[in-house]
Amino acid sequence: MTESAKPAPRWGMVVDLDRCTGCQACTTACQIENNVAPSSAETADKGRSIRWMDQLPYMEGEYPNVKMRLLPRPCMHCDHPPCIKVCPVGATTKGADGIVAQIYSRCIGCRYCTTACPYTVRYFNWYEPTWPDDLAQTLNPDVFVRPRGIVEKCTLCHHRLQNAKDKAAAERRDLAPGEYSPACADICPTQAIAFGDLDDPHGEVFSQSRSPRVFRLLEDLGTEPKVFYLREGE
Amino acid sequence: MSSAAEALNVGLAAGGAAGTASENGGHPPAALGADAVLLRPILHTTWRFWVAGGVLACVSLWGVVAYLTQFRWGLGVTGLNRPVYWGIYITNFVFFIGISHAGTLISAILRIAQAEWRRAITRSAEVITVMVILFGVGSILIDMGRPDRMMNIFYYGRFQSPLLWDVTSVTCYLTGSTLYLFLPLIPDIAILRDHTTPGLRHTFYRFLALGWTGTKRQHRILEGMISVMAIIVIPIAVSVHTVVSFVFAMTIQPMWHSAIFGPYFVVGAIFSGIAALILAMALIRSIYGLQNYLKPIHFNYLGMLLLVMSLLWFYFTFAEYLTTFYGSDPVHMTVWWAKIRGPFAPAFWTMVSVCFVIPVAVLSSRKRRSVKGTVIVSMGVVLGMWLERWTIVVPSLSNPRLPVTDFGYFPSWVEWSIFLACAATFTLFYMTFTKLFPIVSIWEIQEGREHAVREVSERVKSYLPGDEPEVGGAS
Amino acid sequence: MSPKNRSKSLRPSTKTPKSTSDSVKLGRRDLFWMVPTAAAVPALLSSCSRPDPLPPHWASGPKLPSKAGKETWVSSVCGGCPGGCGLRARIVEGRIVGVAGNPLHPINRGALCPLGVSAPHVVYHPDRIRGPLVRRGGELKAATWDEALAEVSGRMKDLRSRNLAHTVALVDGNRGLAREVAAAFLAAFGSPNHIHGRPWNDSVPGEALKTLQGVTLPAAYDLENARYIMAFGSGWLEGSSSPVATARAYALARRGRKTDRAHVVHFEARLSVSAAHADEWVPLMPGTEGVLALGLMHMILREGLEDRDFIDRWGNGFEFLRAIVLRDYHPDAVSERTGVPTATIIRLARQFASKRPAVALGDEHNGPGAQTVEARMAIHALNALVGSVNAPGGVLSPPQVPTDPLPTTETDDTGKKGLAMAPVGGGRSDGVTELLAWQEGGGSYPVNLLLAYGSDPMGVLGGGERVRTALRRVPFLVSFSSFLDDTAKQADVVLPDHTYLEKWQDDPSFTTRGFPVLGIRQPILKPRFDTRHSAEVLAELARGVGGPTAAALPWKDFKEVLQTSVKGVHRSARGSLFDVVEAEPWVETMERSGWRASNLGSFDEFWAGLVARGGWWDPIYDFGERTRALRTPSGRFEFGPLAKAVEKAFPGAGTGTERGAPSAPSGFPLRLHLYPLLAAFGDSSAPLPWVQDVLGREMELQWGLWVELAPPDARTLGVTTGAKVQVESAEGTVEARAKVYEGARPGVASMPLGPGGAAGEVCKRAMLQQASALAAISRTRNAMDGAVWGDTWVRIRKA
Repeated sequence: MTESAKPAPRWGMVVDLDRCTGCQACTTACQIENNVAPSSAETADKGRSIRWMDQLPYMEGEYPNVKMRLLPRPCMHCDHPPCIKVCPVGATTKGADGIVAQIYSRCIGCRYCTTACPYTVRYFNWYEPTWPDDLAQTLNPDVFVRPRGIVEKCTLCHHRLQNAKDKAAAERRDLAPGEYSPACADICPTQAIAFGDLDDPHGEVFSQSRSPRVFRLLEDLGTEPKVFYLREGE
Repeated sequence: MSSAAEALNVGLAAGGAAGTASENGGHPPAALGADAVLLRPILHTTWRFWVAGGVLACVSLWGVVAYLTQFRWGLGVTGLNRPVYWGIYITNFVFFIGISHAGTLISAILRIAQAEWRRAITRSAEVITVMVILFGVGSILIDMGRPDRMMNIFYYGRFQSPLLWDVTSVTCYLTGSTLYLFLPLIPDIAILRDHTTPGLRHTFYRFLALGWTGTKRQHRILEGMISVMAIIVIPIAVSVHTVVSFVFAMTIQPMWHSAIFGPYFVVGAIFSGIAALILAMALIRSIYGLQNYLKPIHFNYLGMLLLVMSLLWFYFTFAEYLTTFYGSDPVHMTVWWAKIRGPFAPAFWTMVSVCFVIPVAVLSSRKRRSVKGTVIVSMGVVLGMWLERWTIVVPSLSNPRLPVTDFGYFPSWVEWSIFLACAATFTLFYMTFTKLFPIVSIWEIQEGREHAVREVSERVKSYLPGDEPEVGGAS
Repeated sequence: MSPKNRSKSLRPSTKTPKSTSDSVKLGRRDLFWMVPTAAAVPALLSSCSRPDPLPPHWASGPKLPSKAGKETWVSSVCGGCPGGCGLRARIVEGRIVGVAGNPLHPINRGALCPLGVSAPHVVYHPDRIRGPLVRRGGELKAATWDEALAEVSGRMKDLRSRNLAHTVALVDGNRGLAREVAAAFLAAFGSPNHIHGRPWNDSVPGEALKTLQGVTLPAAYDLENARYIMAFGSGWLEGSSSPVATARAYALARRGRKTDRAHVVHFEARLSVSAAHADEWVPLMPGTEGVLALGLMHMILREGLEDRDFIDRWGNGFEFLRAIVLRDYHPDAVSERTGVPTATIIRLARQFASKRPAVALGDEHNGPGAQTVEARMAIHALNALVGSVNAPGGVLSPPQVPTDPLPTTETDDTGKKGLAMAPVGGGRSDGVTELLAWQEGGGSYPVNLLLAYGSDPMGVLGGGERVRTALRRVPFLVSFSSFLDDTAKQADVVLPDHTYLEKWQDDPSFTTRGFPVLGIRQPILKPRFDTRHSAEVLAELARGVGGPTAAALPWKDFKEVLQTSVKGVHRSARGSLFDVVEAEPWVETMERSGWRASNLGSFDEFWAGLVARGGWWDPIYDFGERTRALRTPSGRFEFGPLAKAVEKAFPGAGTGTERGAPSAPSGFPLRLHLYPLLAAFGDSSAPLPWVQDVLGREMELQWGLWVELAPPDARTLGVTTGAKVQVESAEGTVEARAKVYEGARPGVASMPLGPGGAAGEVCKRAMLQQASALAAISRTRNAMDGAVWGDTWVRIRKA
């Protein structure tokens, strides 16, 4: 490492719940961007729908003082991910940029990571994914279709990072802030999902992740999630 | 003391009959006398064996069909879902590995402790171990989403993963146990070699007998090796179930992340192992008419062991559940309540009654520690320990930290079929073993008659105040 | 390097040591080869026999299109709902492989909702109709376009020749030019029956707004600048006619300003997603929103908190209303009717009147809902009461997009005679309900031919079996749908339209701040099937009918008509092409102060820009132009009609009952509350599995119909979540799964309205199938109501 070498960015996300309306465009955009096969009534009934970006409903209180909180929930891309430790074949790794990735071709489908993840954000391909007829035409050519029997998860649209990096490299420059963001952040109608380098003091996520409204999911577990939430209210 | 004396008397009585014949000893054919009954299952096979074997083979084949279905379509054919990613296969994995503690561990402990009553039971116990580990390992392989990538474990294996600890430990255990089963088999194989006429079987035994002639040197080496193996195998066995528990305990999932899981699982394993052994012995005894070898006294002793393990198991269970309850971490309590009065309550309370209430009630009385009594209790314990694994694996997964819609998990026909087939195939293998090798160690029984009685009486004598001059007498 | 090559290249290094390994001594030189060997063994192991990442027998998944090929992005406008969001389609090798929001489009600024994201699936949907269909022997059979068109135009010609031109009705789900084409067609043909065929007031104002303000265009709600938002009834965040725009405005109201985070209060029978995002959720009895609004009004008036300025200058008939409200709508009485505590009514009335700008949202904003016109008027009058009409943070009246109208043509005598007939339902904006009442015997003449033009009146819109029965009485039914929706299934001829990504179309709309927007929809790829642009089909039909009808629509290519019409915008020399967000405030300031005049360039440049950027808009709202907002004959906000309606409709909330009041009929103890989910409710959406997957996520019982019950009600019924139940009304029965929901008001059973459109192969058991079933159990209390699923009471039994 030379001194001039910039440290790798720590990609992270801040979800402002005061903006979020619970429309779930992020969920759908993610599924379509990442070639997640559509669910059906059967898969949904069995609890096998794959939603890398899900919406968690939290209910509190009793009628009429009921509160419902809807949390968009991607993979937390923990700094200390419990899933990586347990993988027997090293099929899940954390890169220098902090993205917790899954090596699809190595995964043996033991589902240890899915059980070890306290956020239950890892999904398993119970069957070979299928698309109704022509709908397969709309598959995103940038993303691998996962075969049955392996675990998959939110990649923070890693292919977009790769594309952005390639582009920057071809133009002989550094990756500019804002050049790379995942599909969920891009699509959000309310811009509730901010994305960027958590260590870049000039970036939006830097300041937002230090907001007094900030919290993280299951923070006490010490997993150091890189997805932050801003709670509702003033 | 009384039991030791009894063991002694039995040995004397049996030894009296065969005494002269065995003095000629060695090679060619030793006269087996009354012990010839032990060779009968090997030399004579009734139609009943074929019928039973056929039925079991059908069940096994059905399991193969079920597995092929799963292989063809994926794990979707199971009842598993998100968040219950693990179900009956992992339950079986823990269960089978637990049962495997019947053999090697008990046999090794009894050998080291020089418990003379072990002689008739060690073989049947050790066979359970070897056979059942296969299904423990098999369950893991069946559970894999991509069995075709099994070799990745060796290419890319990471020792950080508790699953790899399992792979290592179970492999050692399987190797050790097989060796530990095989070593004491050698003299018996030699006997079989001497009692068979040239042919396929004879060749088979001759090959396996490794040229055993029963010389003093051979005996010395064999016994030396057996004692070494007995010592080696104990820590391996303990480690196996410890790391099996670590698969769960190393995660931070509610009610899995517990420090006592290691010993808790080991105790549970021995507990279920003894129960399985009792069942196996009872079956062998009645089917092959070995009432004279597997006596009520054996069941009585094993019953006592079972009682001890039941108490120990309850102690751990109690400690585990009380700690969770008293701590009242809401995440853990969700799982806790799911077991105590939620959807898993039937399984949980069945487990408590058949693993603790019934065993203690039945086994605490000498009278009820009969063959029948212990068998009934053992059936309950085997069931209960399966349920214990079930209530460890499934409830925690059903109630993860972050709320996930609970879709409920119930195994599909594929899973039940594979479970049944595992049990059937195990039984089939076990039966087949009894048709190839004596299920009660002949030479050890003989040895018991020839040497142990004397040894034991000398040993007992050495415990008592005798003629030796007092050391450092008080003045 | 392939694994094979690698293993070959490594082999020599493993062989060499073997030949020298006789030596027992381990020298330093031996280490030389030992180290590489030790390293080579695992490498060999992994390179020789590493399992193929995707062995052939696993690779049965869909073939991934290769990435090679040019990638292009094309702008267009989403057609999933009336929202009018701009999108950009990503095209690789002639396939649409994804869409993104158009970052320049002022309505959505790069964002999309789940329906928008799924746009490509509409095009590639397996349930699409692949060519014209004609009913022969009771079944729909494939036909050629000539056959199908001749069939329809023959009938029309025949009707016209028998002086029955007026018995042709057209239910219109389009807006913009396609709607104008239909109007021109009918005007020339001679039918007054141009019926609004969508559940949203996206191109015509709702009856309440029309009555009180006399406007001809729907209203924009400037939520972005509101400090206090009070929402009545169904989910204004999920189900509004422009969900992305509403959501954006919500976010800006919440966190767009440095201070003054907007306060949101929501009245609804259940804790909906919208209610969950409010600062305060007030459960009330469904159907009493109007009474509640009047109760709030009572408090505002009693405490003198109303905006006297606005009322004096721009109100009409206020004193009449004031007297009635003060007489009849005492909070205690209102509380009794609505179930909202008196103290809450008082507190919220004070808040609403004092934290301005405040805005009240009813179904006039929300779109599909169950509020009566009277209730909508009462809610809208609250806006006038606090001066939030044509004011920042209030209800705005966006100006029309200055497109050129279609050239008008004269019709002949037959046509004139037809046009002179009374239109179905008096031409009100809630057309399909009118059509229903008409068909059920309220009309003076039967409808003989119905054209379902971009609309599915038999679907969710119409009220299920009842509407189906009524519309089946129409002897000849023509559908223009791209999918086999409820109407198409019953149709005699289906003339399938392109999907919205395959055709040219204009999409006039407006932003929440009342800025007019013209989105341009262009074909992103060639039509995949033998379908035709509906407007062009109308022109073909006109040619088939001949005479003045043919003369009215003399063109063949809709794109030409569109280009001609857009010339008006160019000529207006106002506004600008879609531009980056940063430019917006800049342009606004400049134009306001007269420093900048639009420069749209030559028409060709303008057109090219429109197509490339996605459209045109005019980021100016002139608050001074009151005449646009208040177009009643008096030029004022008419409180009178409300007063009259209130006097009639809710006679004395304390003593009498509201019409169709919330009192349970015997045997049906639960009030049914139907609520829309997302924008997925409507007539233009195909059953999209990915959208299905997110609908009702918070209820955790997706992909099927559910009925929400309050825990006490569920206990009485002895049902738990997931149990199958029968929901029975006087009208019919529907099966659903029970959901015991803490956020449900006791005494109310809530059910979601699924998306409209056809239930096809893709979403077999999707809830959209039950949408019509649902409608079957709900009933219209009055044909004058805005919605057909008004006042329904049900009982629930375990299935």
